[in-house]
Amino acid sequence: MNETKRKKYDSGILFLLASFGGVLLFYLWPFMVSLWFAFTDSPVRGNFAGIDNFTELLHNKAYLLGLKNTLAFIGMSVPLGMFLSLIVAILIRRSGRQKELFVLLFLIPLVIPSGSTIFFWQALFLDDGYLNGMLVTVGFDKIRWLDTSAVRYVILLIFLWKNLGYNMVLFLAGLHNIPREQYEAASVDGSGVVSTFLQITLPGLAPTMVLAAIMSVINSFKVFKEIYLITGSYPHESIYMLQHFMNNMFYTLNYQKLSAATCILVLMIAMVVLLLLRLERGFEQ
Amino acid sequence: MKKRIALGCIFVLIFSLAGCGQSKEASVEQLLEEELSGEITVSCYDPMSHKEFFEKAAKSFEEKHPGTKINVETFAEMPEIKTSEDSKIAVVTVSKEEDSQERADYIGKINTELMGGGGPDLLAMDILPFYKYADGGLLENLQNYMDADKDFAVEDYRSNIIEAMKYKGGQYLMPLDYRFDYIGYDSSLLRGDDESRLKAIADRISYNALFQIEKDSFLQENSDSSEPVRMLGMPADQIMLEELMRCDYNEYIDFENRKVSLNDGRFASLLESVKQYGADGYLRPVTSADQLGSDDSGVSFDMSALEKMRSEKFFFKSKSNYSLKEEVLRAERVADGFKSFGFGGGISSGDERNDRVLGLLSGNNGNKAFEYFNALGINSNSSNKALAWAFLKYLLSEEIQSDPQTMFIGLPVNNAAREELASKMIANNYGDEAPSEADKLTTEQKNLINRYDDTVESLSDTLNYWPIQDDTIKEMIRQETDRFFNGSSSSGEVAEALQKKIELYLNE
Repeated sequence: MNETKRKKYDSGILFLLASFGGVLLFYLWPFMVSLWFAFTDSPVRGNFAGIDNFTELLHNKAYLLGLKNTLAFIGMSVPLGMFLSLIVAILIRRSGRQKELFVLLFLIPLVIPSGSTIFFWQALFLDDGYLNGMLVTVGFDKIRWLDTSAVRYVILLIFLWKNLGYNMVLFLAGLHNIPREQYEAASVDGSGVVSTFLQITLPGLAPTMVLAAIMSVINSFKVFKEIYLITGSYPHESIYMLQHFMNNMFYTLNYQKLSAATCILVLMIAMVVLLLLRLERGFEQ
Repeated sequence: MKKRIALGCIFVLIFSLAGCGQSKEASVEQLLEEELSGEITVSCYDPMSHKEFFEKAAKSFEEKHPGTKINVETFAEMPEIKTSEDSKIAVVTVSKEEDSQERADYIGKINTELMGGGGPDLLAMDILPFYKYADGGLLENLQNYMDADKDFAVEDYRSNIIEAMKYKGGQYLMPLDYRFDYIGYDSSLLRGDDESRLKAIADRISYNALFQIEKDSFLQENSDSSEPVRMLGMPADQIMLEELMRCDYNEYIDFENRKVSLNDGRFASLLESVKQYGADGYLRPVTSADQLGSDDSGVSFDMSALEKMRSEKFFFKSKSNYSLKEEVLRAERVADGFKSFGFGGGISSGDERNDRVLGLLSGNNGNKAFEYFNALGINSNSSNKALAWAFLKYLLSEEIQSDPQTMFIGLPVNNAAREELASKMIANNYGDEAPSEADKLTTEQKNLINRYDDTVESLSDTLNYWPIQDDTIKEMIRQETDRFFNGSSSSGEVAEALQKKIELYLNE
């Protein structure tokens, strides 16, 4: 009996080793090495600087601005994105025959490379772009979409356009997993639409929501690609994100600050994910 | 088992991180005692003004020091050279579109190499953000080498130029040459005591003061003449703005202290001044000539337009030191005997027949600005710093700096070379094949050379300010001020937007 257990144990380790090796070599190891920079005073022949880089970072206006904007963007985009994709998922589920067509339509933005959509966004939002052209035609003044705080809404729109489909697919799968019998029972009991949604759909979707929230937070960081391509390294201050700060730190050779900022970011994401997972466990119980 | 694995990981990590620590290095004195050998690389972005110079110097250095090798690497593509000719004149246009992506790629490449602990041994600071490298400890403080090297005497060079390029007390850049713009005036347009009034402010020139002195003459001239006579041959756009900012750049953007002062009203009023100068007719409107050299401009050289531009008259001109030779020769009234350079002061100078030198533009604090074409820094990662310094010193030598074929743009920082180069170039203007010995020169040529040297040296003596340039900031200013000049933003909005952007950039 013991011998069989031992054999199983050994082969399990062998299977794990390959993937663990990959994670160690390509993720953990570079992260640990870059961690060293966070505690040095210079990237080349640097001396140990304790927590100076972290202290400096927390007093750095640019970092704090990036942090504030990133948190504001996550706080705005994640709930809104989840709400809209849930609505779309429910509507598509009820749409019957055209279901596949709608799913396909919402998934298209996910497969279009960011670079090729940039021309479209620029043509739409530039000072002399289509949108301002339409505004002027109907008698309004032009809006400098990309150079004022209005750019925040442009970025929000791009995020929603790009990620709605992803969350929608998750919610469709979640909705599919809720037993039909529960809805039938609610109907028999005379439950209304709102009550059914709150009492059956929402609790049934709790695990999916946690997953969608985690993925949305991660995807909200990925929107930097579009922001960078449209507005460059130094955009309007309202959309200067943590990724701008980190990207610019790389180009300005400040690896110490970059590594310190990465450490804080990893810590923050880990805390958010742990919190969401704990929430999910609470829902399950 | 788990504990053993964890301990093993920690040991491996500690050993690997220990490799990142500081290693003991030889002192500068010890470095300078080393025998020269091995290989170094000099890297520059722009092949046009640098490659040939470095390659020629590298070849002769290698011959003098067997066992050494100097590699020269450039990044950008060579510019396109076009020649237009008619019966009277041949015009050569050298055009290269500013490729911001190409520039960013070069900076990215060098950054990656430096961060990897390597990179070229000598870095030409033609586009690299030297102050960031200096802040990051990536450049050697050359002051240590200058002090330790017994063969190096700073008095042999333009010490005010070298001194002005110090950053945070350290000498991270060594200029090989320098250039400056001076203010000239058209003596045929002056009336009454204008000339003496202008000469009274020659030590502290500002455009505002110049325009005030010539305001009446300007109005009178334009009421008499059918063709408009402008105060200055510059357009009322970014070019004039840069000209106005140049001597006071650190009052707006202080790189050393990372301080930006663009929203206190001064920058906004500077923008308004440029616009007002344009509205008053002091500056010329933007013409197709301003777009020459730009590939997408669709503008080609038109000889009749060129002739028209050469006949335009301006009260004042901002000219490169390159024009001083012609200015001196003209003043000595020997113009018939020498070969003209043509556009000595560039297209914006117009008719130059009656031009005289006034002096240098001065900032609020008495700053008199200069620039360089070639300046080098030694990479702190270099494994052969002794050879890098030796080659840098060789580039500063009289032998290299007095070669008119390589030092044709800037003025050499080497004092003896500057004098020798002036002799060669002025004599060559008379058709001689670059005489190298002073006794071959005629008395008239010697007088001219002395006169030219006096002019260059007296102007150079007053140079004391090098405005640090940064590609990103220049682009930010260009983009934002463009909105002011095309009327879509107010001066206050532009100043505020720039303040936030540049402040963010400098304080990241």
